[in-house]
Amino acid sequence: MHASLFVGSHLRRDLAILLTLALALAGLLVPHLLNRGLIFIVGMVWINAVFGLSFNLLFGTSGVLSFGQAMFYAAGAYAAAVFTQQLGWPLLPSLLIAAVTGGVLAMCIGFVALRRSEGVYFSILTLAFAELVHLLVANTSFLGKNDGLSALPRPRLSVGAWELDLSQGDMFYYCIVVVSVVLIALLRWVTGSGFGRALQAIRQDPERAEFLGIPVQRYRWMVFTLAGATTAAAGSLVAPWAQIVTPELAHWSNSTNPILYTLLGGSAYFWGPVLGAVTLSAVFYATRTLVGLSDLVTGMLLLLVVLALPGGMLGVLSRWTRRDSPRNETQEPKP
Amino acid sequence: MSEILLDARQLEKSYGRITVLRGVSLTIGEGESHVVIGPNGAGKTTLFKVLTGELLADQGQVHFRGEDISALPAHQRVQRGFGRTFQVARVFGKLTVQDNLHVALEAHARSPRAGTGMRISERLQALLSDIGLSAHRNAVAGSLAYGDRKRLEMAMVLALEPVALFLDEPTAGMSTAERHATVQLLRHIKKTRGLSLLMTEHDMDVVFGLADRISVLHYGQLIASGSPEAIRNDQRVKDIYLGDGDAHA
Repeated sequence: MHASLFVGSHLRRDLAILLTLALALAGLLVPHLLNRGLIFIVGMVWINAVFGLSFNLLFGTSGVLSFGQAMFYAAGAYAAAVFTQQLGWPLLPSLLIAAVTGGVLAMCIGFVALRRSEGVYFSILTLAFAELVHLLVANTSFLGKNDGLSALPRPRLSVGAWELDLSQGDMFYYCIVVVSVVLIALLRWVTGSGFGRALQAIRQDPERAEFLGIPVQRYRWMVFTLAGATTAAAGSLVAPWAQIVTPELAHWSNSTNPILYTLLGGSAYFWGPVLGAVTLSAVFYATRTLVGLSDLVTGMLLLLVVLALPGGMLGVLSRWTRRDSPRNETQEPKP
Repeated sequence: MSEILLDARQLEKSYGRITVLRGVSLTIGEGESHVVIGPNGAGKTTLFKVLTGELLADQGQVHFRGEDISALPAHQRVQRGFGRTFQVARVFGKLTVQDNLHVALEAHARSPRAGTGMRISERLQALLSDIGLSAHRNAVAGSLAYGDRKRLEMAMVLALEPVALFLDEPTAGMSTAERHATVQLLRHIKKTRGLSLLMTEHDMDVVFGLADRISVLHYGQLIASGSPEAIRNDQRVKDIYLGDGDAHA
C-alpha cells in the first residue's frame, strides 16, 4: 500500500516546482522546433492539461465526480470571446472575468447540486446542468446560437502604459504557456496546502473528517467553485487561440475529455491529467488520418487503461519503480 | 455534583415507524465518565449519534455548556469541544501517520477554540511521541497494526483538544490485554486532560472500571441512571441486562 502522492513534503514540493519549470521551459522551446500546426496542438495540450488538472482537483483530491465540467469551460470561452471581441478588452481583465464567470456559475450550481445530492446523483445532476447550459448557449442570439462566435481576435496584453500585441507571431502561444504554468502552480499549491489535505481526508472518509471539525459540505462547495474558476480560465484561452467558440464546448462529450485525461494518466497523481492530456493528444494526432478509426483506437486505449491499468499510466510507473526499490514501509515522496 | 457540561432532554428519534429513542434525558458533568449500557438494539448507537450531531433528534434538545446545540451539525459540535472515536478505528488509510495528525491539527487551528500556544509542528511532534508512533510518522496509516491505528485515531481526536470525548465501544474486538491497556489510557487521558467521557460499552469490566455514572437503555428508554454501585444493585437492570451473577461485585 502506498500513500497518495498529492500530499507535499518539502522534497515533493521542490520536485514539483522543478517539474513545472521544466515543463514551462520545454513549452517555450516549442515554437523553435515545430511547425504552426503542431504549435497549435501543443497550445491545446497546455489548455487541456489545466482542464484535466482542474477536474482532478475535484475528483482525485476531493472525490467529487462532475460530469459537467464542460459548462465552465464553455462559460470561460464565451466570456473571453464576448469581452475581447465585442468589448475590446485586453487579455488579463478578460481572463479574470472569465474565471469569475466560471467560479460564480460553479458556486450557484454547487449550492444547489451539493446540497441536494451526492455520489452518482450529484454527477448526473452536473450533467443535466451542463446540458442546460449547452442548450441555453445554442439558443442565444447574442452568443451566435449554434454557429457560435467566430473570427475572434487575439487580444492585447496591457500592463499600465505597456502593451503587447498577442496576435503577432507566436506571442499568444507563449501567453498560453505562462498562464497555464501559473494555473498549474496554483492548483499544485492548493493540493499541497492544508485545504488540499482536508479535501483528501474528505475523499477517504467524510464522516471522520466531519468529526475532526471539517465542514465537509462547505469544503466540497469551495473546491467545486475553485475548479469551476480554473476550468473557465482554461476555457478563456481557447477562444483567442482557436479564434472560434461554439456550443460544442459545453456539450457533454467535452466533459468526458478531462475524465479521460485523468483516468489515462492516473487520478491518484497530481501530474496524471497532464500526462493523460499529452498522451491522448499524441494518439489523436497519430491517428488523425485514420478516418473512422481514430475514435476506435482511442476507445481501445481507454478500455485497456480502465481494465488493465486502473491506476493509470503513473500508477503503472509507480508500481514498477517500487518493485525495483527495496521494500519499505515508509513512503518515498514523489512529485 | 460537578457542573453540567452536556444536558440532553427528552430525546426522541424514529426511523420510519420504528421509534428508537423514547424521551431519553441524561447529563454529563465536567470531568465525569458516563457510560451508557444496554442490550443490542436498545438505542445506544442512535443516542450516541444524536448527541454527537451525526443524526438530529426528532424531538428534544441537547445543551452544551448552556448553549442549545440540537440543530448543529457534527463539525460545529466538534468546534465547540466534542471529540469522537468510532467502534472500528477510523483513520485516513492512504495518508501517512503525520498527515493524519496534520489534518486534525489544521482543522483545530481553524476552529474558534484554537489556542495561540504551540505551533502545529511542535504539537505534531508531541502527539507522535505521546502515542509512540514517532518512528512510523511516514508510514501509511492503512499499513499500521490495528492497535496502532486505534492509538492514532485517539491522537487525532486529542489534537482537537476536546472537552468531551465520545467513545463508541472503545474496546470492541480487543484482547484482554488490549482492553486493560485501553482502560489505563482512558484513565490517564481523563486525569491529565480533565476530560468528560461518554461511552457505550458492552464489557462490564471496562464499564465498572471507568464509570463515574452509568445509564441503562432498554428499548429506547432510560430505565436507570446512577452510580456504578446503584446500577449494580438495581433489580430491574439485573433482570434485563446484568443478570444475578457476582462477576462485577
